[in-house]
Parts: sequence; structure tokens; C-alpha cells
Amino acid sequence: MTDITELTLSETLNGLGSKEFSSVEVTSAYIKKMEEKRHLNAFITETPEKALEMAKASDTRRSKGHVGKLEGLPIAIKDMFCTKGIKTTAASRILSNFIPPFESTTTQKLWDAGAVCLGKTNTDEFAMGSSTITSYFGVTKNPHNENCVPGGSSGGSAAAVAAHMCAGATGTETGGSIRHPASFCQVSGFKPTYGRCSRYGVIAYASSLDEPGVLGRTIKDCAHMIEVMMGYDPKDSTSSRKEVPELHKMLDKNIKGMKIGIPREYTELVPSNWESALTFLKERGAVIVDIEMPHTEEAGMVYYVISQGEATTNLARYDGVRYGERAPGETLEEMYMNTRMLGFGQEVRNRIILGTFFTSAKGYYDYFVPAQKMRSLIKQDFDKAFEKVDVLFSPSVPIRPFTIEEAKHGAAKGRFNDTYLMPSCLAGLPAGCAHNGLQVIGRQWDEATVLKVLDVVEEIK
Amino acid sequence: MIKIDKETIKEMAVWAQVRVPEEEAEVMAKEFTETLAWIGERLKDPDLQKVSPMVSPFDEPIPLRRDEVIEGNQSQEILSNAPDTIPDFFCVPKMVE
Repeated sequence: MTDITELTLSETLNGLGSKEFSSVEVTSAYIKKMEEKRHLNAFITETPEKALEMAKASDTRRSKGHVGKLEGLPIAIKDMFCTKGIKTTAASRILSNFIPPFESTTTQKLWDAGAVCLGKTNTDEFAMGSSTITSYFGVTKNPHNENCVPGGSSGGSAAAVAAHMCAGATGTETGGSIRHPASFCQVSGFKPTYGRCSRYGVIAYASSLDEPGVLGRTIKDCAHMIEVMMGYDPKDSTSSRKEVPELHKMLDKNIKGMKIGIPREYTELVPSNWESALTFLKERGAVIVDIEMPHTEEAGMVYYVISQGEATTNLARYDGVRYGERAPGETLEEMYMNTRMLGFGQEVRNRIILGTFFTSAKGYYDYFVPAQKMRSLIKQDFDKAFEKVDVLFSPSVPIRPFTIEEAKHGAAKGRFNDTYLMPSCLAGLPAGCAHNGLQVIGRQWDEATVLKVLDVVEEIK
Repeated sequence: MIKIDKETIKEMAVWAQVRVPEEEAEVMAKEFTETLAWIGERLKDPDLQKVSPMVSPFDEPIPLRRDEVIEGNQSQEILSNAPDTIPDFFCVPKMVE
């Protein structure tokens, strides 16, 4: 028999459906692969026993005719999603012993659809970074070149998908944290419109930006998972009541007559397959339209101010009283201070100090509010573009993955690392990239068109 | 141009309930001053006067929830992750004599 872990998520679903193999067999194959590839450090917590228990339950359900949309499928969860009874750390020492007494809405939806939990994947601490080097649990290695980082912050998920340690994985984006590692690890990544996936139970970094999403080996794999995760949740006040389409059924490979915009500002640096990509799309009947997005370059600055300001507020809850690791102190204040010094890594501490400035009387009106205004202008660039085109198309991360050593010396701060990713996060739009590193951004709530185009883009060499 | 000195960094650190060693505060102050100059330059766009701040990308009405207990009586679960407890209470260092 062929190695089950070589199959895509969609093929695995078919095989489970035709009884070619059971969920226990698929899950066991992935657990074996996780052991073989453990040196990559893609997982913070592996849950093989739980996985086999869930797989057995899935096989029983299937035998009784109860078949969920992801029935029996083993997946990995970024360690930013709270999972009931399973340690959830956000890759931070301050949460290194935290066992959530509740389940995040999006993971609950995955389990309700029959998925099986293989474990929790590595990330930058509190998802702040694009390399996983800030994880308290050590860096994840890129499966394609183990001297390199997997990108981030969902680097553990991307590496696990690329190394066939899971059929698919969840991720979160705040400023590009799904598409970045997807690009570095040559897998697919997708995040829907802000408001599509509940943020309940997802450890908060910057609340107006945080969005759950998925990583898979193909775009169709991503569509299968994300349509299960999307949908209204009364526990998240910014969750939309809009109906969720059956996305995986909408990938018909037909982009004839579709207007695809190329933002000029997103082509300053392009990968070697760029020109052939444009030719390919034209040959498939798409109309290529030149687009101007004049505020693109301001996205990095806006992201810096807003994400740090919001992070400061969100991370104020870690005080060593209700959960997490505590460092002793003589007084309450000293205990807070000692706990946060011990529990947070330097990158996180620096961000909350600067975020304190942006949300203080000194910084709020001169920096934070103007940055929010600039965010409006960035959003308007998209609104104007979508008057002319159906989707936008560009490279995602036009640079090669940097080495772990380069990452330690600030490579992630370089230009073009996330330049083409941040604007769509600030505007809260659906966006994804294929394994070839090419990305598509769509209109608000129009996940279907983004995935449909990506499904064609995926064929570009 | 706003200049951030190491005293400001230390003041922010106290508000954020973290400590910054003296030499680190110096470096951070210098880097942050440069960053704020860069941000300031980018915020000179005259179009900024014409728009409102974007607080969230979510543009649907946000209804208020009823103030009612949905999942109650879970004190043991809530206390289960606390570093120091006595039955039904979180413990912190003594605050009053």
C-alpha cells in the first residue's frame, strides 16, 4: 500500500469514504511520521493517544453512517487555539503549564466535523514574528532546508503540513502569519474575511487584526477545512451571521473572463516565475488589469503601531494570578513584575513597552489615531481596486527563506518580508497563497472567488 | 520631532509591568526615537484629514449580549490553572498588614 501520508487531505477523505483505509490507520501513519520528523520541532505538544481515541470514535461513527465533513481526518492545531484538557501555550513560558478548561469555537467545529487532533504546533511567542525563533520551545526547522526557518508565525503548522506530519493544520494571521510560513514551506495557506471565523478561544495578540485560518498541501484541502471553521458564533461579537458556502465544491477551474488586478506596488520585487504566471492566467482566459494601491507602503508602519498598541492591552491579563507560571515577589506589584519578566520573552516585552507608549496620552493622539486613519486609506485602496477587478494577484513573500542564523540577526525585519501581506490583514480581506508562493486577495466575504482563482494559480510551476 | 529618552522607556516599562535594564533602555530609547521619526514622516499625508479612524474591519452591527449566566458554577475549573489557591479563592501576596 502507498504511504497514506503522501495523499492530500481531499484524497484522504475519499479513501476514508470508500473504506480503503480507516481513520485509525491514517492517524497511525501520521503519528509514525511525527515521530520520524520530530527533530523539526514542528509540534510543542503531540497528542498521539488522544488522536487514536478520536480516530477510533470516528471509525465507529462512520460504521453507523454518521459522517462529518472531515470525518476521521488527522490535523494539527496551532498552539494559539485553546483546546480543552490539552496544554495550550502560545509558545510562551508564561502559559507553559496552561490547560484550558474550554475549547475554542473553531477547533470545536473541526472536532464536530469528525477531525482528529494530532497535537499543537509551534509558533512565534504570542504569534509575534515571522520565523518561530521567538518560541519558548525553540525554533522549528524548515523541512525543505533544515538550516532555514519555516517562516511564521504559524511556522510549526506550515512545517508539519510540508513534512506530511498532518493532513492539514490551523493557523492564525495578524499581519501575514499564515501566508508567510506557507510561502517559506511551499504549502498552501488561506485566511477568510475578518469576522468569518470566531476568535473565541484563540489567544489574542491584536484583536482588530487576528484571524484564524488554515494551511494545507493544496488549495482544495484548505477549502475543505476552512468551510468547517467559518460561521456565526454568539461568543464572538465580531462574528458574522452571513451564510457559509460549500467552498470546496466551488473550485471549478474556470476563470474565463475574470478580471485579475495586479497592484503595481506589489511587483517591485517578484519571483522568477512571475512573468510566466501572468501569461498562464491570460491563457486561461483571465483579463489582467493594472492597479494602483498608493498607500501600500504605509501598511508596515500602521501595523507596527496598531498591533503593538492592541497587544499591550491583550497581554495585560498575564499577571500570574489566575493561570500561567508565577514568579514569587514580596508585594503584589513585585510578583506581577517578576512573573512578566520571567514569563515573556524579550521580543514580547519590547512590543508591550512600545505599545504602552502608543496607547498612552503621549502616543495615542499623535500616533495611534493617525495610524488608524491611515488604515482607512489602505482599506480605500482596496475598495477602489475592487470597483475594477474581481481579485488581486501578486507574489506573497518574494524573498527566499532566511537561515536560522540570519533570523537571529533580524532578517525578519527586512523589507519585502511581509510588505505584500500586511495591507490585506489591515483591511480584513480574504487572502491566500498557493504552494508556489503566489497570492490572491479578494473582496470582503468573497472567499469563494479567492479560492477558485488560487485553485488555478496552484497549477503555475 | 519627539525624542524618547531612557527615562520614558523605563516609565512605559513600569506601566507595562516589566523591567528594562539600564543599558537596554538606552538602546531602546535611541531605536524608538528613530522609529517614531519614520512613523511621523509617513503620517504627514494630507488625506488623513479626510478620513475617520478605522477601528475594526468588521462593519456589521455589533449587538450587545444579555447580561446573564450561560455557563455557571465552574469555580473548580476556573481555579484549576491558578498557581496559588485556597478553596474557592485565588491567592496573591499579602497586600495589607
